[in-house]
Amino acid sequence: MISRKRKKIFIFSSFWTAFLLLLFAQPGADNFPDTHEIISFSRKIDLKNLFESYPLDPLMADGDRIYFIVERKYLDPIHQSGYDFRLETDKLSLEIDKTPKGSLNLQGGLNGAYHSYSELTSALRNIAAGYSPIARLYIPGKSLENRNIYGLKISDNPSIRENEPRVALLGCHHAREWISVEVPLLIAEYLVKNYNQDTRIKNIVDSAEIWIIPSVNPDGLDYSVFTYRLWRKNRRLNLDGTYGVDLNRNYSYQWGYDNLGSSPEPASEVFRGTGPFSEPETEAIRNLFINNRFSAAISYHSYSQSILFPWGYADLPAEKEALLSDLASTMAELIFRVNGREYEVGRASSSLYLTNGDFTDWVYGFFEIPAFTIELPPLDLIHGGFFNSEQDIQQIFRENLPAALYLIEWVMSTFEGGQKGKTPWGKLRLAKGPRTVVKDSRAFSKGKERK
Amino acid sequence: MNRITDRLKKPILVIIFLFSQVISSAAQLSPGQYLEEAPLGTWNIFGLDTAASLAAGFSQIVSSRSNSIALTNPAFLALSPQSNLSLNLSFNQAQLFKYWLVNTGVLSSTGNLYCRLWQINYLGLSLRWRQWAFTLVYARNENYDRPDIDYQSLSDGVMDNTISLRQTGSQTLFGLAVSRKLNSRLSAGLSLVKIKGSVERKLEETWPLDEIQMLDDRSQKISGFYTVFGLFCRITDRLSLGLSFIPPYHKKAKSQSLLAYISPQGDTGIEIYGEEVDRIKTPVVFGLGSRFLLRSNLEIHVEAVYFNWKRYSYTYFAEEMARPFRQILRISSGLEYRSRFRLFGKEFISPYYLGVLIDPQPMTDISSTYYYLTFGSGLSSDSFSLTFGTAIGFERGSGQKLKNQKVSITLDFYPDLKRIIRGERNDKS
Repeated sequence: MISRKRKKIFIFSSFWTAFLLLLFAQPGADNFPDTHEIISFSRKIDLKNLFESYPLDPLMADGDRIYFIVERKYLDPIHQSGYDFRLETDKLSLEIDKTPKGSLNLQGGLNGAYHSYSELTSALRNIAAGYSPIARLYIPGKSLENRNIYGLKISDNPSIRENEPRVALLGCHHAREWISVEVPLLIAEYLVKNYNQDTRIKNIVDSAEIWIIPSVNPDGLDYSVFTYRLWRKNRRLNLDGTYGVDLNRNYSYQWGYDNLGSSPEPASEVFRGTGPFSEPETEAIRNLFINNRFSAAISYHSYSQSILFPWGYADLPAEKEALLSDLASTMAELIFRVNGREYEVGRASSSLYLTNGDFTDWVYGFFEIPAFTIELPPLDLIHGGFFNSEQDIQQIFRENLPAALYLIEWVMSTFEGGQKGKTPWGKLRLAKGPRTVVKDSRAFSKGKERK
Repeated sequence: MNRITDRLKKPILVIIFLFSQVISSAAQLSPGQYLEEAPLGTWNIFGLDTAASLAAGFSQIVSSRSNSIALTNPAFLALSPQSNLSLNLSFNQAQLFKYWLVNTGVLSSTGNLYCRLWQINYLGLSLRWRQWAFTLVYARNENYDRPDIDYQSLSDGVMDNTISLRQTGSQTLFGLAVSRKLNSRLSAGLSLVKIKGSVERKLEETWPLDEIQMLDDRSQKISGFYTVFGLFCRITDRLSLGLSFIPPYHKKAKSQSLLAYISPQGDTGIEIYGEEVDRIKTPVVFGLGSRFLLRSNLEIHVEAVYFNWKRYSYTYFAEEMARPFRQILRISSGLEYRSRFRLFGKEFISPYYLGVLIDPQPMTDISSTYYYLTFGSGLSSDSFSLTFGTAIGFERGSGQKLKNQKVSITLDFYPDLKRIIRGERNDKS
């Protein structure tokens, strides 16, 4: 009798345990990283023998170590065969957004079809959850008010750093430029939704890593949504009681070059901060770029309908200006073909105004890769300025999509393997022109400028 | 009334982009006390303060001259005179520093700003029938007004930018209280309270040179319902205890918004409409009070009211707003002294009140507490009572030294007050 009761309890508890496991198990069947690990070996080992014995997928070489992707089930056999390896999966990953997926879509409210921070969070999590084999959400850093700065990585193996070209699409350095959040976000949605239907998109996603950072300035974005629509900077409380640092003047390349392209005055709309990378938001972008060798970048802004390339700090030609100009012109042409809207192309300093310490100069200046600022519509203040109607969002995205895809494909076509020192246009050489080399942002104090 | 209010809330034109005073380093990014939905003066609103209550240190559980106690401890009403009609006129002057886009980055003031408000905020009727008391109340207990702002920017003598801010709003309560004297020492009461309120927020910015206008209009219609449970117990002839309990409840807000950008020159009219139903989760409130009769004409009250703000939540246009609040214990104490005199052949009582209140605010990003000193007086006959009460509050913690002043004038009619006066005479003899 007792034994039958025990049996019943055993069957019931087994069933219950199995049920709970099913309930809480990750949907890992199509989730590549759950079954694989990244391991590294010393260059000195007998690689040939290793390759012959185990199915290893080479990932990269860095210093005296070589990295591979391997199915987890081979870890023990490799170890038992006497090979000494290090498990590198965690080290090579940025912080992953571990929040439960599939939260509600909160869109609506004060900002209509535009995204506030929480709406954006929800949208990005939905993409990462719905398309986990090709999309993963990372958090390269946090804002001053502790909001996440999200980086959505779209690639065929999003959990690992592959030897593929990387392109970054960033939005919302400036809080009031709501459309600059929507365009990269919609590009991300387009890529994941069309991956299985469009061979061109599949090829892009399989061959490249596209990083979408829709809001560099989440604190400012929420202030713009909930408090004051035209807020631009981040939410730093400056020493004089004013608020905000212009994040697009806070990067280190030519930071504070003059007081025209940025301002030392905290109250100014273009206040550059107390030092390069003084703000956690720009620091997050710096970390992302240092940890991932990017091949090109676009920073979306509004307004004025233009595609700008370095230099912004001075009216000087960039070393690769001809190529930058060609790329920008092609992008502008592709944009024009969609809606007939003309985007002016030009050097940032002469086409718009002087900007020092901006993202595009920094990316081009330090990483020697093509970097563009795309100023989205409208053309001017009387046609909306920082406002776009909700109906315009799709049109602006549609016209910008071919340009973004073109740049990604161009990077893919010029990619030389991502070795150290390799850039899309060949061997790494520092760009010419005066520069501020920053090793530590704290080394700069308020008012210390280069003229 | 609105005209008076409007005149007092003079537009403020002190907007510059530089501070003339050193800002406290406290609360790096804190919006401070005046979040979107914050009531004027304090977060810890417990019923409504008529004059006697206000003057005796915001005493609202164990002592009241008017039936406004129905909103905090209805049990007390079973001991009230047979009937009581009560009317209250209040003045509130609150100082603000940070709110909305003022001193949060867009517009800066050189000092604290004022919001002033006169209003008839209470009307109550209480009737006794045997051991029962029934009370009807109308109370305007929360106000969401903010100082008006009219900012104008001149460039070379030409106006190139204007900003106008307006925020008004209030919460009104309609209550029905029933209380019963259970025995000679104990009474219990229950109030059912309907909430109705609204908040209107308008921002208009113009650029006259380009004929461009930006509008940001938001409105919320608030509704809800809550209950108040009360007990009152006369432990001894000198000592009484009161208990008040308001369970947590939800308020609903129908929120609507319009964000518009209008530029006739570019034939541009961009409008974004929003409409959402929001929820405000109001946490439990628990109050305990004691009254001790030191002499037949002198009594002391001590009250503690607990607000579990930690459980407060607020959605604004369907987004959960971060409200890192803490639990609060509000402590108050008051003295009431009654003197008698005869005038024109009639006997009058003149009460004198003195009280203190420590009123910590729930925000955790800054530690802010109001310290109130209260006092008041009045005149009562066998049929009416006219009471004046005032409270002066000084805030510490935010670095802005905010002040808050309240004045209440209450007129009560007690057709049965004779009985109480007779009772007191007998006590004295």
